[in-house]
Amino acid sequence: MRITEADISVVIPVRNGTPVLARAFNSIRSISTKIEIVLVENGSSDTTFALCNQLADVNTQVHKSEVSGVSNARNMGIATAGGKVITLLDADDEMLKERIDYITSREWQETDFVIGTMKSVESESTNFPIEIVEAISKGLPMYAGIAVAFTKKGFIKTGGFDADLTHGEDLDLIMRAKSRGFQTIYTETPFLIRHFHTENVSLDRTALVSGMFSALRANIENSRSKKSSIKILHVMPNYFPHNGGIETLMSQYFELQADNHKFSHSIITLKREHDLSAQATRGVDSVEEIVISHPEILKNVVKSTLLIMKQLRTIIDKERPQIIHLHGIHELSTFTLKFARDLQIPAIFHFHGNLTEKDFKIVKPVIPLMKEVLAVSQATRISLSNFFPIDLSIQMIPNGVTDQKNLRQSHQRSADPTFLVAGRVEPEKGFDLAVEAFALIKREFLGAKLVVLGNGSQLKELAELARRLGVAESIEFKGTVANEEVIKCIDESWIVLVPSREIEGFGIIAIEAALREVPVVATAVGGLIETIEDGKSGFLVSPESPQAIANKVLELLSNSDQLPKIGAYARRRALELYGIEKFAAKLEEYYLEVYEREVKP
Amino acid sequence: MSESDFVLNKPFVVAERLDGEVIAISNQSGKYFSLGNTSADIWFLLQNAIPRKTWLQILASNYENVPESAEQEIQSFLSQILEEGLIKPEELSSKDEIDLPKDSARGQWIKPTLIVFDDLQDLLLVDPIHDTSEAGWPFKENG
Repeated sequence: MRITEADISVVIPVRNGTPVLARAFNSIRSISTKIEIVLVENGSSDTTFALCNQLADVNTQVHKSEVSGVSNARNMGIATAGGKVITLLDADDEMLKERIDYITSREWQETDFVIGTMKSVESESTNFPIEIVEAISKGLPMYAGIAVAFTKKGFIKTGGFDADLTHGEDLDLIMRAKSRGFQTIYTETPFLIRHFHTENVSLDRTALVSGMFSALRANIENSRSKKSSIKILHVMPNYFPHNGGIETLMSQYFELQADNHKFSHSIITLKREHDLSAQATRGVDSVEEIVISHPEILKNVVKSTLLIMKQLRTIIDKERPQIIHLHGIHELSTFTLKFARDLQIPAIFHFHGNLTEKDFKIVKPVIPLMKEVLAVSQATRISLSNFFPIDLSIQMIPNGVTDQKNLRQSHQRSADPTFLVAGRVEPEKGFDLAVEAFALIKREFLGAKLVVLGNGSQLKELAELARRLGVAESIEFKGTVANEEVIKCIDESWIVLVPSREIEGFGIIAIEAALREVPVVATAVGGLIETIEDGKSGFLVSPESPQAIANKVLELLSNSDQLPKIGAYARRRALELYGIEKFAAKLEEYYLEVYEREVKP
Repeated sequence: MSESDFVLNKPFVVAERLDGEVIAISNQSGKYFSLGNTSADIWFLLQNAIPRKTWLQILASNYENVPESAEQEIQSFLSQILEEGLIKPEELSSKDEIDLPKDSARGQWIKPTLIVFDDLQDLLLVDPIHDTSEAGWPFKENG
């Protein structure tokens, strides 16, 4: 993400800052009038609030924080800030142009946490640690816990400044960001001019130092509990940038358990060159990603497989997890099972979709190695039992979805009938059926639109099909998008289509739509029969039939008054059966079972 | 170096004792350290400039089952913290008896250990004390 000056918000908390606030404010305005300034006043006994209003221009917000404390004031300022990147300034310091230039010149990831340095000290200070004052005067870079910049989205996911800390809150925030997988980036770029005074640092030095120690202690506790946690290594080659059901499910789970130290997770992914550049779509979570690079330049398949295998073996050997959690059938699945057996690490094989003849051939040789098998639905469990030894117990844990309450009401349904298909653009997802159905619907509703989210091998064919049917201009292919954009697209849709073919294990998009109260028309296959209560929470139609999809959609559109009622019921049902918390609780219970059974003795 | 006296390497080391655990920061290396049990008490003795030769006696009267190897364990702990730059040699004169802090329960002797953290090195070479106070943010300039 690239940032312009207009995308930056500077948050300045201030209490009793009359003598200095104008200097801080003007230091920003002398750089740019486009930067947003957010002034948050709290508890001043002087005329600071009046001064804030006096300084405010068209790109300034002024707020009064009723809750006491600098952390509250900063959190409030950041929450209301309109910028994509947030940076902080204290009321007695001065902004440097270098900071703005730095922010606008770099490529931002959501999880970046930038720490810059402070410049020159106007020091009549006697009480400030002499080594710091000396270092600054010698021109050495002095990083400052308050000379920071981060994305607004990222900040929300750190949990914000801890209002209980009166001191050391900046250090605490940075440490929390680090522990949640943020990238801390140190730049020698000077971010601010720091004005030290005898008055400021001498006020309560003991409390300041003690705040820093509290923050450190919290970090020590954190790393202690991480050490004692059960280490789970996930093998998930497509974990972001591909946002299919598996990735969505697991990223929501990781986000939910960011503060739970009972388990620590890391992920092995398999990436090609072009995937690495697309990492920006990955959401924030606390999970370490270990990338196996795909030697795609090699035409020799055997050699390339060997290279992948070698990397995989090295990683598992080095990581030595207590449990391996293997998601789906892919290039790494059979080798993972073999290495797990060699190293005596229990492996959970998680089937996110129904087992087909074709996939069965791939995993057949390693079925004897499968001890712990997990299915996402009854349908998947049944499909497995057709192939697996009768005595193998298969656990079922239905997927869960995070309810994005905070995004409610912020998106509106499109004015024209709009439909959505989302997921991997692969034959089994049946997006071609949706395009054909859409062409039929469009005959009745000329303004209708279809949005396609996701990437996959069928994308070109799909575009070609749309062109042939004369509906290409009404279909928008958005590719892979961030989770939040998926939610927005669902909210804008009238109906979400899930035209999957036989092997759909669960169909997480149906639950995502239900949580947003958007009705679903899906094919009656696999897990969809369980996730959708036909006629009440959504509608099931015969598989492989564009006509059946179109008929159902047209029927619903002709009586569109009932859509909200269906949506509301679907949401209630989804919350009850498929909340991410339910999934997390069941999964962790299962991890503990596997741990007790296979690791502990 | 046995029996040599040591004191904390101020001003390069800052430390605080919280519920019986000492957290120390070296602002030379940017590392920070956790010291619990016996090692926290040794830190207390260093902090109060207690001569080395009296340590074992003080510690032994506060811990149970002090092993014969205790002296050796203290010595190797000292080497470690010296290497980390947390202490410096200094000759000390005898002091009055001193009581160890009563902020934690002591039981069996635990071998003194130093846990080193280096995950925040860059950060700890930072502006470590950042000024906010109830009087104003960040301060009130002219009194």
